[in-house]
Amino acid sequence: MSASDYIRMNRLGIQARFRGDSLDNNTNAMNTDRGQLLGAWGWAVNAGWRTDIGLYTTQLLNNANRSLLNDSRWKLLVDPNPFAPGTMDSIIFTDISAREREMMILQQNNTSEHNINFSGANEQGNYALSLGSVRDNGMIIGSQLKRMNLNFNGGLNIGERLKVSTNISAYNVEQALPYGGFGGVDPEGGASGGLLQRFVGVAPTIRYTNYATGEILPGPNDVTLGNPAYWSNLTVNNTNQQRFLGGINLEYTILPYLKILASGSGYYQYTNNNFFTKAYQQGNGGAMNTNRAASFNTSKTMQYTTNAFLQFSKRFKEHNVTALAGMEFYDYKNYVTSGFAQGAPTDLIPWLAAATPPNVQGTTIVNPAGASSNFDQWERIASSIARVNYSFMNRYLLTAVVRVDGSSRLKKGNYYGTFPGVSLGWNMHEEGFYKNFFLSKYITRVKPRLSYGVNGNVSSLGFFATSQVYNNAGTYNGFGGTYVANYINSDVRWERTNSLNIGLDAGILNERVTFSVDYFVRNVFDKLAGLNISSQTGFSSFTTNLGQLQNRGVELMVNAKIIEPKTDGGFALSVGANYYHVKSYAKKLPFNGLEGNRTSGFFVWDKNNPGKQIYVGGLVEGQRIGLDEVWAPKWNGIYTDPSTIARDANVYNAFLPYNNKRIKQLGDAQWHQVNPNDTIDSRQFVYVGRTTPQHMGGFNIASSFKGIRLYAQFDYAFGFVVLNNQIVRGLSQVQGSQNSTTDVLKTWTPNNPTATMPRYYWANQGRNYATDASGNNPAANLWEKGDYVMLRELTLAYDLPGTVISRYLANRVKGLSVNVTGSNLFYLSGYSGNFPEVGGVDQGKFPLPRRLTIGVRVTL
Amino acid sequence: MKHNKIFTTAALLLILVAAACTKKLDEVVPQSSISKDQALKDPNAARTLYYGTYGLFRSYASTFYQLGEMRGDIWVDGLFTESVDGGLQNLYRHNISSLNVPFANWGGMYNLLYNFNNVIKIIPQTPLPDAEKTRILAEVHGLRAYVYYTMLRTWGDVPLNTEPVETLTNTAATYKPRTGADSIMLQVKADIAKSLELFGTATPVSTDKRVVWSKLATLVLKGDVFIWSGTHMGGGAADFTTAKAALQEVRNLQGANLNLQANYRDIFDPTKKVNNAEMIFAVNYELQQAQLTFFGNFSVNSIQANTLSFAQAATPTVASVYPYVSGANRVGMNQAMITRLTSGLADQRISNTFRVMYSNAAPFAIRGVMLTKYLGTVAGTSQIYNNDYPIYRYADVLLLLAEAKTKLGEDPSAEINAIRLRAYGSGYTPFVSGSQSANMNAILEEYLREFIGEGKRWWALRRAGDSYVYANTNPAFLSPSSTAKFLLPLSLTMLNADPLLKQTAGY
Repeated sequence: MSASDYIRMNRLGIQARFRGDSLDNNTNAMNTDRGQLLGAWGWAVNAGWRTDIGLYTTQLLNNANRSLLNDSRWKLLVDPNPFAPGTMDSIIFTDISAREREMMILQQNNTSEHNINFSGANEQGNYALSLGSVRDNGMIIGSQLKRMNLNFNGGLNIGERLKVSTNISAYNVEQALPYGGFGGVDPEGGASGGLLQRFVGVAPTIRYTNYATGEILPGPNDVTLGNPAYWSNLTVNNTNQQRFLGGINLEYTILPYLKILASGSGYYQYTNNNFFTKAYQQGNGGAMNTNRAASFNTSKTMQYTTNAFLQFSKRFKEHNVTALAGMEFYDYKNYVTSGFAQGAPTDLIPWLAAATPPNVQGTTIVNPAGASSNFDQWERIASSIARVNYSFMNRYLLTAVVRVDGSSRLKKGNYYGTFPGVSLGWNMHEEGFYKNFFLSKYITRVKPRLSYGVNGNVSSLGFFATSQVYNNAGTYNGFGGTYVANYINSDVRWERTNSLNIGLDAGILNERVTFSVDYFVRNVFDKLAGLNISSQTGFSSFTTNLGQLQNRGVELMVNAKIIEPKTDGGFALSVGANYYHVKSYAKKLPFNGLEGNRTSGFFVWDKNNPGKQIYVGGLVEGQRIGLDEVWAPKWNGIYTDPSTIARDANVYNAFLPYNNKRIKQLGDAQWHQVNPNDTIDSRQFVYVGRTTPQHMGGFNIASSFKGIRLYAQFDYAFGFVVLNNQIVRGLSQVQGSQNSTTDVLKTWTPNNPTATMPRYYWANQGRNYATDASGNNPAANLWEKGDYVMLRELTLAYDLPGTVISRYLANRVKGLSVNVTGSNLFYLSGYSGNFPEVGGVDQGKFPLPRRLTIGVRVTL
Repeated sequence: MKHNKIFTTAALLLILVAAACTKKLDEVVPQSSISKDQALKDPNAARTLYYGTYGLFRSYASTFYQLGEMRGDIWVDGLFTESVDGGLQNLYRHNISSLNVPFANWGGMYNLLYNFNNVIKIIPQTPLPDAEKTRILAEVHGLRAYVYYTMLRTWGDVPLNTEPVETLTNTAATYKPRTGADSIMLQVKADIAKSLELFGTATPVSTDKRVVWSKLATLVLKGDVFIWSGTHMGGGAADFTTAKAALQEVRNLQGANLNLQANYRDIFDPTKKVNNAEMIFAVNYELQQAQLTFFGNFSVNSIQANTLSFAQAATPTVASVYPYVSGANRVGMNQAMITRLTSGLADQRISNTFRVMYSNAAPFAIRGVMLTKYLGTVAGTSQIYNNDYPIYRYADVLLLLAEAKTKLGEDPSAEINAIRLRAYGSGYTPFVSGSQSANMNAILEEYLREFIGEGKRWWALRRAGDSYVYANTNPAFLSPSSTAKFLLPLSLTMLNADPLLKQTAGY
């Protein structure tokens, strides 16, 4: 949505709220809302808002403030008075546009990256070292990142039989984020935490500056709504992380065909977060908070992997056999420590060192402080692995593998799972009969493939998911308590995925066009999942191995060299494309006594069998999985004349907040009835679409000419729906004082009787845009297709020709190339929001940064 | 030969390593939580389960509050300054239907019950001293009775669980129908009897913080429960007599450690929790443990507080009196209720419960009310919400006793006058016993004023009888033609998740 779509809605919002609220025939309700109207937020009768530090600038024009109109920031609006029909008010206000506000939180993102590589090798060994650094200022004002890394690989041959190689890498990153000390400012977060949606949704008449003195004001007392110029500087929130990885690999030749391969590696990661909040004012005119809370937390991760294999490799005439068997052991541990304190006398020292120790005043603890440490994560995996590769004359290829994995996440007795796999390939074009076949001139390579494999998974379980332990119930009256929070199913097993893949690779006209197609069936047995259970058990769900699910899909890939260079450096053009599609089914579900052992869904009326209900949005045996389906009420239009209201007088809308649920007003939505029983409830919902793309893929074009290379890469997804909640939250006004987009001008009013959108109510009281006052179940009409094509990358590169290098750089430089890359350049999409790539409810995500990279590569 | 040796050695090695691996996997056990095994072996681990029941009970305090008050008449369509709290609005407007289901999934109460059941089962197997085991069981039976009683009043028939489920094999095994309200009432009374039996004959009054269940609490609950069963479940005079006896037993203990606080404010004062004479059982809130924050929507936004005054004048602004209070004003009292509570003789309960907020600009119109009962203390520049939330206090004993007497046709004036004396001081209007309904209305008037914000008013109206509910409810919301709304419906999700559950009658 373009920023200019936002308009001044504060005033209109209040009128609408007045219009919509007298429905309940209840004088109390009426008085209440009138009372609210006079106080509260928004345009201000109250002197408190009118001052230079008032929250909003809106005020009635009078002789005292008339001079403000000489200041270009102040504007005048003449508008009908909502209480006294026929009279007009002159209102003055200032206005910060949505674009201006976006500019207050977003900035141009610059990244600079440097890399140096040294490498060399001889018969005795090899050596490769690289050093790099990255600096990035981030997209949100106040964020930044610095990273340095080192990577070393070296090998040495000791005698004839032993080869040793080692790799070491180190990594350091320092990162700072604004707002962090206030917690919960999540760019992608929910309705309350999403910075972009919340901040741009503030009434534009907000006062962020004292216009008399120029002082920066905090605005509302909420970090996601307040003035970024004030709040973003108040916290210190930095993270630094160091990672070290070291590994050693040994290869010992026992006999010419028998080797021992062994390796060990260790990984260590240390992360430290520091937070500090300076003294701050809790909103315009609010009290000062001088707690100056400071805290830190650290986590230390240690991970070791060791393995040893015996490898047998031999050729018997045309038979080539490689067999390998061995074991692997993995150990992972994580420790955390944290501490907090407050009461520093100054903003200048952002560390706990400056905090004041806790003390008791009366019976109250002032400046509470505390510390904690924990060993919270631990995992071990022990595996045995055997693998055989066999090929005959490069015609028949066979790989068979079996591994036994044991995981500490499962209970004793269930530790181990056995996972075999086999794959077959047939290079048909190597066969004599094919070579004689007339098609072999055109189709030069044909390779049918077949593979079957079993994979195990326990990663969706927690580290100690099968241990019978009690959860922390907090401290009560000074004593620590525990309780049973979840039903712990210690008897879960490995989740197993059986994949059957049938594929064909082909090369046409000597690999000028290559083509690959795959069809796969993936059966997930014993899927680890939470199953909803009756709440009288004391729990909402329990984790279990859930029957059998199945994914079926197809993957296509084609690459073509359309123009091949005739000479070195001649013109070349190639294109490539791929496509991916998958569908998921529930094959077998745990017995629950219900039809198809259905779970996690709900009932709607069946549009094909009036009066019958169908179970959708969940899992039913034999049916496609519906968890990503969106079902919503749909309006067929709006009531524009009293006769249709009279016709529908009997239609009962269960979602209305009034006692009389048959009330309708001009401009209200005419709800679609799948089953025409005059009752609007959740069973009348219609299918809107799925939130996961049904078709995905990408395509690319590459061309080159005389050292100039041009490359463009697109990706696409279609067949899914997105809801732009920035629009819907404005239209439904569920938050109460949220800014709206210009879509609100399309809503029905007495002056706009031909409008296409239903009447606008404060707090969605008419339930026209969602089924409740919290914005749940937005109408089907508000969902949009997310279909998009994106130009993900466009690169132009130039390699300096060798002749130029030798002439001007006297061969001191072996190669020099420059490139310019643009990333995330544009979407072709009808979606109104910033980011169509994720389906479902879009709370106002940050756009992907459009990135321009300029690179130079020098080889010495 | 040489090759065979290598292979044999390798194979042997593999077997050894495999055995070692299993041992390595065994070593991975949780490092930072208490296991069931520990609770069965170590008394301190067992005690964490006991304290956990209170920690858990605390997290339901807001549910108990809403069930007991928001459907009553105190907060109906009031004045407030921000957008409405929709959930609470549905409760006070009784906007309840099979599609609009408050407290779905039984308000989550079955997890609380599971843990009570678990403690009742595990504690006897632990190495705790016998006296401590008995005391814990006495308390937990009392707590369980309180919870089932609340559920009975809320839903009528509810599934009955008195044992923790140990193993779940399939979903179908978890289905359970609702047990009739009569049987639930029997269970409640059995738990009360068990609790009293375990507490023994002595009835000590705690001189500490009264934040754990006690024999006194069981006795007050017994009075409460028997008045209900006498009124609604055919118990009649026999039940009222039982109730009266239980409450009288508490009343007889009135003394230095058990009495009304002369200053109403002292009941809630976070600095006067120890040996608070009026308290019988309260839910404990302390800094760094848990704070009483569920009244946030009965408070006010700190910026709006600059434009609101506690007097019909420009000052004192709400912000100047409570600079560190945060919250939002989404619930309020209507003008009629404000007038009813604030006019007439000065009542110290009202002035120490809420304050009326006016616009600080002429004509200083009323904007709403701010609940001040639970504002805790100020530490530095932070508000610490560390008031305890009372479940039963001595004023309950007096008013319940007055109720029992009224229902038995006896004179409740002594109890009513004790309450009025504390509220209005010596200039109070003495109550003279009249007709049964006049007596009941007088009691209900004291309930209204005494317990704002304590989750009592709706239950008091319900216990008095249906006609008292109708007399104090807007007929547009609840009337003799919508009696089904006394009990709450079950959500579609609940019915879908358990085919044995039947919808509450009338929905």
